[in-house]
Amino acid sequence: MRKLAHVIGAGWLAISVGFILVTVITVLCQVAFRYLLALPLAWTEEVSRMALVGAVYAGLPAAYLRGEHIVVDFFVSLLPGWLFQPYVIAMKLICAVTLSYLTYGAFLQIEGTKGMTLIALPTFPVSAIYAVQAAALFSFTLLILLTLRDPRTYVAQEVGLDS
Amino acid sequence: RTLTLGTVYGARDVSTQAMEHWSEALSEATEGRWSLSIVPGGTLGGDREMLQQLSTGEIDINLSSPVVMQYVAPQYQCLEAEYIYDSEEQGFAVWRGDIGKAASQAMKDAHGIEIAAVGRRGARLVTANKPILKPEDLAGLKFRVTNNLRSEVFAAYGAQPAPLPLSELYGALRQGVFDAQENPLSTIFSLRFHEVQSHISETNHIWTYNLVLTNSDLMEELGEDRAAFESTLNESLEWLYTAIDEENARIRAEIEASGSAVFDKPDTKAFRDAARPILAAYAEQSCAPGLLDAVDAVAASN
Amino acid sequence: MLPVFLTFSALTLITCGLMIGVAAALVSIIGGMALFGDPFGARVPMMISRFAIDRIDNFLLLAVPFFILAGRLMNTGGVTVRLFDFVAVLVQPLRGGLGYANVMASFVFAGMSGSATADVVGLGSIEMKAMRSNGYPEGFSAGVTAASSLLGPVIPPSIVLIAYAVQAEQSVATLFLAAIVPGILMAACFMAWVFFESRRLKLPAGSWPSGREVRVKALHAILPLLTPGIILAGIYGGIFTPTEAAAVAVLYALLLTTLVYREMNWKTFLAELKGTALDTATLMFIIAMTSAFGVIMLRLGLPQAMVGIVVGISENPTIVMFLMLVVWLLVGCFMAQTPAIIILTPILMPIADRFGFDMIHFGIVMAMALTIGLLTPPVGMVLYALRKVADVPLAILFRVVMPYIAIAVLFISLLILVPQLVTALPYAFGLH
Ligand code: NA
Ligand code: NA
Repeated sequence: MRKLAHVIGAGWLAISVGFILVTVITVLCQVAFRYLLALPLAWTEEVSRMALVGAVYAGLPAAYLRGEHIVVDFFVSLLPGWLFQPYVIAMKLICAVTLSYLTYGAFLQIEGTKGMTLIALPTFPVSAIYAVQAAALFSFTLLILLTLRDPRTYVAQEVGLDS
Repeated sequence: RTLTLGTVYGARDVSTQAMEHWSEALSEATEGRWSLSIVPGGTLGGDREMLQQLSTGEIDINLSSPVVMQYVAPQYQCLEAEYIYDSEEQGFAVWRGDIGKAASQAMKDAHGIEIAAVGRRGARLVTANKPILKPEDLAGLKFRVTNNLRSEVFAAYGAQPAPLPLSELYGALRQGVFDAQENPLSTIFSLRFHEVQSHISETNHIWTYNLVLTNSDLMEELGEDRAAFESTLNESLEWLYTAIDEENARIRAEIEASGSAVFDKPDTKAFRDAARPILAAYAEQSCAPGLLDAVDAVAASN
Repeated sequence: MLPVFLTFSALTLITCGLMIGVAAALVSIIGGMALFGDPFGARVPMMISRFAIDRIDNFLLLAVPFFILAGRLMNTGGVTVRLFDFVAVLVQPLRGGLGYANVMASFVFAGMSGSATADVVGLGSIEMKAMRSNGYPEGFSAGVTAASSLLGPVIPPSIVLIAYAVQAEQSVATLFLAAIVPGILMAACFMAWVFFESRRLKLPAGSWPSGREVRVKALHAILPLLTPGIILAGIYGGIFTPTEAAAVAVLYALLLTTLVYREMNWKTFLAELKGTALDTATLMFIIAMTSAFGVIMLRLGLPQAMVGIVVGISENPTIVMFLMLVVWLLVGCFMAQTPAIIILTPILMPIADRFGFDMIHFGIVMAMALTIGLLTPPVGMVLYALRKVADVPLAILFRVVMPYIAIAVLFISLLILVPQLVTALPYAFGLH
C-alpha cells in the first residue's frame, strides 16, 4: 500500500516540477523577447498561468505524502496518546470526503466547459485544466485512503512554509 | 426572487449605474416580485468565470462586453474586432439585428445563455506619450494588448504588443515598461492613465457594447413578468445612452483642464485600411463563414 | 448570521487540526448549499471546482513560486552564509554585534525572498549557530532571530503583499514601494531594542576586523547584495513587471550559485525544485480555497454585516483602523498571514471604502499586523520553524518574542497615525 502510494506521489511530483520549470522559462522568455529582442510574445502569459495551475494540483498528492499540508498541530499535539490515532483518522476521512466532492465538481466542469478555449491559445481547451484538477484531486483522495492509518502523512514532520 | 447580476465593471462605472436604475425600475414594475442584487468590480470573477456561473445558474445576469464571445460563441468573436464597423450605429444594427440574434442562439444552444439586450459602451482609444495620428506613429512602441487579433493588428501598425494585468498597467506606463495602451475613455480616466501618458488618440479602433446576458432558464421562469423585465431593461439602457455622452464630455473636460494629456483626432481611415486585411484573414480562420460580408451588408441605423 | 457562524466554524476546524485548504473548502461547500438552496444540485460542486482553478489562474501569483525558489536557491547555494559573514564582520566590534548582524542580514535577505520561514530555515540556523559559539544567551539569540524574520514578508518582495494586490486589485509595484520605509523603520526599531538588551545582558563585543578581512568578505557577498537592487531597479527602472522580476531573481540566484559559488549541482537544484513545487502546491491550494470561501461569504452578505457592526461602534476612521488592528492581531493568532489576507480583504473592503481609507496604506498595515501572528501561539509558524532548526523549546520562544511583539504593535500603531510613512514613497515616485 505505502509503496503504491509513493509511486503515485513521485509521479505527480515529477509532473509538478515540470510545470514549475515551464513557468520560470516562459516568464523569462517573456522578459527576454520583450526587453532584449523587442519582439513581445503573446502566449507566454497564458501558458505560464496554466502551468502554475497545473503545478499546484500536480503537487498536491506529493505534498500530502510528505506531511507538508499546512495543519495547525497545536491542538492535535495536546491529545492523549490513545486518542491520537483515531483522531487523525477522523480528520483524514473528512479530508477524503471533501476532496472527493471537489473531484466530482472538477469532473462536472470537464463537461461544462466543452468548447471553451483559452484566448491567446485558441487550440487549448479549458476542460484540459479541469481534467488535470480532477485527476490530481482523485489521486489525493486515493492517497489519503491508502495511508489512512499512518499519522505521519498528516501531521507535519518537517518545516513547512509560512504562507 | 432576488436575481444576482455580476459585472467586472466597478460600482461607480456608468454602465453599472444603469443596472442600478434597472434594479429600481424592475422592482417597482413587478411590485417586488423580482429584484436585483448587483455584484460589481469583478468580485465574482473575470469574464470567463462569470459566464460559467451564468451557465450553471449560480448567477442570473451578467453585464459584459462582446469579448465574452471568445468563450461561448467563438464563431462570433469577430463582432468585437478592430474596425469591423463603420460607425457605432452600424454596430448597434448588427447586434440588434439578425446577426446578434444568431449569436445569441448559438450561446443558448451551447451554454444556455442568451443576450437579453445590447447597450452602449463606446469606443476604445489609444494613449501614448506622443501624438498617434497615423499607424506609423506606433512603430516600436511597447503596447499593452489583451487578445490575439488586437496583437496582430497593432503589430501590423509597427507596435510591439504584449499582455499585462490591468492593475500593473499604470506603473508600467509610468516606468516605461510599456509605452502605450488602448482602453475606453472611462477606463483611461478611472485608472488615471492620462497622468502618465501625454496623448489620447481617438482611434475608435473598436466600438464596444454592453451585453446584458441572462441564463435562458431565467427567461422562461419570468413568465408574465418578462415584458416588464425587458421594458425596464431597455429604458435603463436608453438612460445609459445619454449618460455616456455626458460622462465622456465631463471626463474630457476634466482631462483637458488638468493639462496632463491632450486629445488627438487621427486619420482613422489609414488605421482601418491597415487593419482590414488582418481582420479578413482572422475572420477566415476563426469566425463563422461569411460573417464579415454579412456585417458589411448591414446598413447603419438608429 | 449564517456567514458569521460559517467563519467561526472555519476557524474552529482549522484550530482543531483539519488541513487549512480542506477546512475552507468544506465551509465553502456548506455556504454554497445554503446560498443556492439546492444542496444536491450540480451548481455547488461546479462552483467550488471553478473557484479552485480561477482564483489561482493569475499572472501576479506566479511571483509566489518564483520568490520561494529564489530564496531556496540562495539558502542551499551558499549565498545566505556569505551574506551573514559580511554583515557580521561589519558590526563585530559593537557590544552585541551579532544581534545587529542578525537583523541586518535578515533585512538584506528579505530583499530577495518573500516569506519569513525562508529566513528562519536558512539564515536563522546560521545566525543561531554563530551566536551560540560566541557565547550569546540562547533566549536573546532566539528572540532576535525570530523577530528579524518578520522583515521577510514586509520588505519587498513579499508573498503576502502579492496576495493583497490580487484581492484588492492594487498594483504590486506600488505596494512593494510603499513597504520599503515601514520595513526599514521596523528593522531600526528591532536594532534599537538589541542596543538596550546588549547593555542589560552585558553581551560580548568582538575585535576590530582588519581591512583585508572586510574586503575579502565584502567581495564574497557583493553579488548577492546586488539582488534586491536588481529586483527594485528592474521594476522601477522600466525593465520588468513584479512577476518578471521574480523570475529574473530565480535566474540570478541560479547563475550565482552554479557559476560563481559552484555550490549548486543538478541534484541539489532538483531537490530545491521539488521543495518549491511542494510549497507552491500547499500554499496556492490554500489561497484558492480561502478565496472561494471569501467570495461565498461575500454573496451571503458578510461585508455589509461587518460595515453595520463597525459603524455601530464608531464613525471615526482612526478608531475604526485601530479596531481593525485588534481584529487582525486576533485573526493572525489563528491563521497564517496569506490565507488571512485573502479572506479578510474582500470582507473589509466595504469598510475601507466607507471610511475612505487609502487602499495602499490599509494593505500595508493589515499585512504587517497579520505578520505578527507568525510569532504568537497557537499558529506562530516562525516559532515552529525555529524550534525545529535551532532546537529551542517553544515555551522559551513564546516568552522571548514578547518584547518584539510589543515593539511591532507600537510601530504599526504609529503607521496608522502617520499614513505618510507608508504613502510618501509611492507618491514621490508618482505611483500612487
Ligand atoms: Na535574522
Ligand atoms: Na521580502
